[in-house]
Amino acid sequence: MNPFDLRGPEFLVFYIFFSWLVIAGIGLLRRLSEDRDTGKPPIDDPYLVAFLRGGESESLRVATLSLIDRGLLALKSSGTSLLSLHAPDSRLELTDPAAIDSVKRPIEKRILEAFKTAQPIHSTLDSLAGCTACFDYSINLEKFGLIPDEEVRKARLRRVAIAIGILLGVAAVKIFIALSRGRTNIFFLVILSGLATFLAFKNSNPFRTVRGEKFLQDVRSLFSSLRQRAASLRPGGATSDLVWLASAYGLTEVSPILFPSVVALRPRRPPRGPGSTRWGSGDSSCGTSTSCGSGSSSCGGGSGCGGGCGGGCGGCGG
Amino acid sequence: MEAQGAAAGAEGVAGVAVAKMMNTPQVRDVLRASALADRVGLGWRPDLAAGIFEHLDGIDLLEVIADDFFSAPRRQVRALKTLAAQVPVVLHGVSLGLASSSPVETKRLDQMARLMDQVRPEFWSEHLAFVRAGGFEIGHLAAPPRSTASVDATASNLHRAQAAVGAMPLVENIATLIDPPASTLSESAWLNGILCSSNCGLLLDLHNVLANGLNHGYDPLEFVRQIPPDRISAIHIAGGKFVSAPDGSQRLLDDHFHDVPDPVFDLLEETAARATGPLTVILERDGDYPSMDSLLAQIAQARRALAKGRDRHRDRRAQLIEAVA
Repeated sequence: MNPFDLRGPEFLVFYIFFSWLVIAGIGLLRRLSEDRDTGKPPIDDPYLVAFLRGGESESLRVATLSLIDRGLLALKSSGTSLLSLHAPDSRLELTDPAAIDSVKRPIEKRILEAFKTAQPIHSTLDSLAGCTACFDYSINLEKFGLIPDEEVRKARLRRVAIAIGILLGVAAVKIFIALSRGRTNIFFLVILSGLATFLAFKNSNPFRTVRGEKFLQDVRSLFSSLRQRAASLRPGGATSDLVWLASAYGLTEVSPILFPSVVALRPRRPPRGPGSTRWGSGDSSCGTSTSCGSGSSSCGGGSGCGGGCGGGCGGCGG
Repeated sequence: MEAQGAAAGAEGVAGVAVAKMMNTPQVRDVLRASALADRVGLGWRPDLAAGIFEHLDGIDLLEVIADDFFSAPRRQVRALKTLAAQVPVVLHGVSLGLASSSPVETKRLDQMARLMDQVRPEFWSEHLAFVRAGGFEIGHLAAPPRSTASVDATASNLHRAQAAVGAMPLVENIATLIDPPASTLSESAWLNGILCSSNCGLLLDLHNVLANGLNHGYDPLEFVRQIPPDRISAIHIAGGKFVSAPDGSQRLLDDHFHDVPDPVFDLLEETAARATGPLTVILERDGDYPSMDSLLAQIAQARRALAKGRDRHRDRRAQLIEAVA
């Protein structure tokens, strides 16, 4: 049976099924090619995990939260309520200049340097995007195949280009045949092929590789009890529970009652939706998109996300 | 005289040079690796995960409760494999019931075998206890009567376990508040009987030795001396608390909720002084978790006790060599 001989509605059904096959096919190819063993990624740095979960922005915010909890940074807010902590004029300031030399991780050092004098939180953290410490995390994650490197990105681009070519090609042939037979009701097929192209493109380049996705799931599994104990963590930097909870599950999992400063650190801008596509290599905003990206647990069940991330994150409640 | 002085001086300079050379990190690493590879680790508990990952450099290995993963989703087992890729892992069983007169359930052995295959730990261990009888789960590690019959039954179970899992487990002595009725052998004789008849290694729980010694009136140190030193491969250290028995006497309960008491470290030193092979020491803590610093301090104390014991071992060996020479 020649599918191009199918009548309009039947062909649309066929095209939906065909598009699903093509999109699933590129997903399968991605799964097969990106799950290679590329060494043993370390689990001794929570900020690396935060970067993997939510990108550069997340690792900076988690590190800042940890520094506040340890008393190395102090919040300067116009009020003391949780709402005032989220005010745009909330500032952070280094409590003790000697702390810059006492912290061991470069990202913490960089943040402390940025807040030597009282500075607005969000714009200062945004200005740290692309800092050497963050770049090192990015390189490390690429090295272990947890986020795509240039080669993987090119392979993804090749696959999606072929997939889109096939999707548009099939639609174009059918449209040509329909027009040559004097039929002009091609509107639905044009819409459908546009939608299929969009979906193929959107699902083709997630922030993490398949290996990265599995690694993050593993880390979350290992720290699952931390999430259950989130409401009883001890503030004051006595343990590393807070930093690991925020790294593995996100700031939305941190109790604002126990750690009020977390309110000031939650992103003000609505993050981009799940599955956002990023083809560039240095776009740090990808971070916030993936913190909600998978639509699964990273957003902490939706309810916690609604207030903190704004409307853009409200959709990841599943 | 001058020549002698010059020679001594040269020797001294050379000695200093050698000492300097020996003190480089590379040489220290080589020496550490070539020494008896005693290791000290911690029982993996999810509640301790953050502290463990933050201090992996101070923890040589982790002991994971195997039974927690027997029916776990595939994703959790994969997480365990990821953990095992970060730090050496050993598996510890709690529900096989090796010291039972009835054969170990094939299903449980298969589960252990599957987990061993997936995680590939350095070794696995299980308690010398029975946990079910007549179709009832006791929910507790119970001490069987210490008799030749239970030695034979345990040896038979151990051989079944070895055949199914592919490796003989280390067997662990358990603590018991009451002396098992119908026993005809002392605890050390019973333990040695099992070690000899099954040719397996021993995971010596020193807090259990202390608890049983105090509860049943024998000298824990003497007990350690009665164990064949070449069979001791791993050691558990833990803490417990005293509870009142119905007769008003005090019994030491091995609850793993308290810090390791000093007598356990003394027993560890004695064990290290006698054991001939490398030792793997695991600190067990099951709840009421202290700060990670406190756990690390106990690990450090265990390392010191091991080192003192090994020094005694070397001194005794040197004395023997000297005496023979």
